[in-house]
Amino acid sequence: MSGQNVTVDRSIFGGATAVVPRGGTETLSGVSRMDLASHRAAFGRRTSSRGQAGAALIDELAAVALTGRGGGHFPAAVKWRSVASAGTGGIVVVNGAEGEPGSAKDAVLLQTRPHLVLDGVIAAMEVTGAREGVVWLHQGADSTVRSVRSAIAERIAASEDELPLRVVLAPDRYVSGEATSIIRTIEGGPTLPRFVNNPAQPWSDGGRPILVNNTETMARAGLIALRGAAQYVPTSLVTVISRGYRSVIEVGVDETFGTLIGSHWSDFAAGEPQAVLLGGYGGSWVSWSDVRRLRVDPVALKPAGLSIGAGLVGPLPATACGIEESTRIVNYLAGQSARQCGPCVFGLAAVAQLCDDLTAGALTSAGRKRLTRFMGEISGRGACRHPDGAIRMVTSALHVFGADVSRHRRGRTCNAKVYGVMPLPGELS
Amino acid sequence: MTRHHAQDARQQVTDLVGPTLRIDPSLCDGVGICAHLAPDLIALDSWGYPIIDDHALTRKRLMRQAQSVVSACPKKALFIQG
Amino acid sequence: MSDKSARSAVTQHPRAFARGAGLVLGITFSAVATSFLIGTAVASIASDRMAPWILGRAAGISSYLLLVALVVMGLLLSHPRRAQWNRPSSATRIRIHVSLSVFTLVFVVLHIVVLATDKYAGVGWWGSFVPMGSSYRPVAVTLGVIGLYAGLIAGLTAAFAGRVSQRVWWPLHKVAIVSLVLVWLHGVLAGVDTPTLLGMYIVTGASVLVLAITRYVAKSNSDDLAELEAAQAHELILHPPKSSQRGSSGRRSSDGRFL
Repeated sequence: MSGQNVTVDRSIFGGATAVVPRGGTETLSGVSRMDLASHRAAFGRRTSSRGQAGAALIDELAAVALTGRGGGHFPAAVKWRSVASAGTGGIVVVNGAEGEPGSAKDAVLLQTRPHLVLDGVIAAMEVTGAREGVVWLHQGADSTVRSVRSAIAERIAASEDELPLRVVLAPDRYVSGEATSIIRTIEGGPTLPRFVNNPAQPWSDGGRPILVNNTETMARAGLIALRGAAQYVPTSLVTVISRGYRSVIEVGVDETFGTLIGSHWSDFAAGEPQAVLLGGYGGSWVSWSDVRRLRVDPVALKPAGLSIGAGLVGPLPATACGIEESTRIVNYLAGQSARQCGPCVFGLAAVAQLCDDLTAGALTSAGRKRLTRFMGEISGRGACRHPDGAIRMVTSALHVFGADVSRHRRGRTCNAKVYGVMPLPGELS
Repeated sequence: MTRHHAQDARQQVTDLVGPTLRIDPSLCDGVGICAHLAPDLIALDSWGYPIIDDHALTRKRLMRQAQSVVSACPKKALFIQG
Repeated sequence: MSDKSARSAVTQHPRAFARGAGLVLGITFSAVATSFLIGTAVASIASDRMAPWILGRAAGISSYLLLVALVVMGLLLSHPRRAQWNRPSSATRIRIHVSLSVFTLVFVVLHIVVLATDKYAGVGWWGSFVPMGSSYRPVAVTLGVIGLYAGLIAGLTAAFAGRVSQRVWWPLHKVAIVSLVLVWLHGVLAGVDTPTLLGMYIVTGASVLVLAITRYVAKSNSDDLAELEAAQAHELILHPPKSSQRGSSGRRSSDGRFL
């Protein structure tokens, strides 16, 4: 963490690193929970964001170019403005159902800085004239649920908020974290993604306006509401996957992936990684030589065709096989399909099957052609971005791990010594 | 982001050149009658689900095909935008 | 990305002219081949007083077999496991299905025309279209008549889908299976040669039955989707529930489900 100007009083974690187990998300060490009193002592008290102050806050979000940290990186100010202009009486949702199985940043935020997130939610409610705030969590996220529950109790005890906050627990699956799954549930439907024709209005015609923002986005909005844009330091929360644990780190935009991984990845002493899975399981593999000099900055990554996505940084040791690893992940993603859109249900299953064949050394040249054709047929054809992410990951794997592909295609065993580097739900770590 | 951008771009195209045939993929069951009725607009993918040409429906024949598949689709998955 | 793949896939599709030319060629070829076969058959039995009777039965058996193929192709088109079959492609399956419907109709027309005009057959035009109007095995012929109407409903509503019948074609399309059941009974009960053809009726009937069962009973994607839909999100009831005193406007069901 050198060469950056993250100072203790201005950043979210004050330079500390949270450690989280591979399976489960309870924060083990590094960052301790701030209750309401310590939160107010560290970050101060927010002034009202109603009326003119609300318009000013949206301008501040735009000034710091705050984008959605759930993976989509849609400009927050655009979303807030469209909900605010849709009329009052809406609902503001903070999405804490981190879809990415590898990522733990949102859980750590809600467990250690719940009031920063809730300040963001209340500010958003004031700005948009919403009547309700919802904290959207996974059913199985016990530590997170406990922390949020206590935080709301602390605020009620201190008579802090005028506006009601509710907690909703979603089924433990990947697509529960999709914004449209949340909106559909609130409107009385199942917790599954749906097709949105007009991205400026993801809620139903005539329905209450609904603003959904990721946890980190909401915490950053809270920070800006508390401190103002002038004091805002653009950092990113990332999750680095190590052998036996995961680290959640607040990284400044000047830091490179090289120094980040060098100082936070447990295996680095044994050698540099061969590649890094960037953004999420629906992100991209990037070779070590390409990624090491890149800065951990959403804006700087764009020209390289990359995205920090949901903040996942998954280094792959040289002793592991990228094809084996990607096959495991694409099988997981295919299994997490909401089973609504044909190209996702059947396409991802077919791609996962062909990846299985490739890993087993049984992919024929006809199979290789089918894999290419299938991947071209899937992208952009689901109601949500789930299938696109899976295809992006496989495409990047075939590109980055070209040597492993030819090794597997000759039917030889690859020289992997390490398997299952990226944690998947339901697997023992 | 890419998805939003794609939709924004499509919206702009629609505004400029006219209506297009669209699909809600979550409603589609791959019945396939659309590909039969609108062969100039719809092809089927490897699993029998429609791939839709999102060019503007500028010619009369294309508009006619689009209207017929919109009303024939038993799942109401297709619609004309713009 | 979606734009590019969508456009290229559609533009790879044969253009309207090529398709039209292919259709005309196909129909011409089929018509010539069919006329030749029927002509040969008619010529070989022309001197026989039984000629129309034989021709009518031949057309009936042909249309039964075509109907079986038609329904089988329809069941394959909507089968829960269809996405796993690579060949023939979905587009080709639909084309085969549509072509089979045309051929079936042609042979049914031949079957009816020949037997309705054969004065020895005892069916007549009245018996061909009106239930219980036939003097020859009235019940058996009636099954065929109703089967014909069921088949026509299934076929014509689909043929005019998108124009007059809107979306009703799809539920009505499923009466095709009723048509096949009736036609099977019609064949077995009305045909004088049933004992000879019993094996064919049993094998084809059983095949369609097995396929229909796997089509409708096999666990499909919509069953998986129903399971996912059944897993609901729940609201966590916070204690003390002060927020409700402030006039929370969201509706709440008794089980705490978030609405």
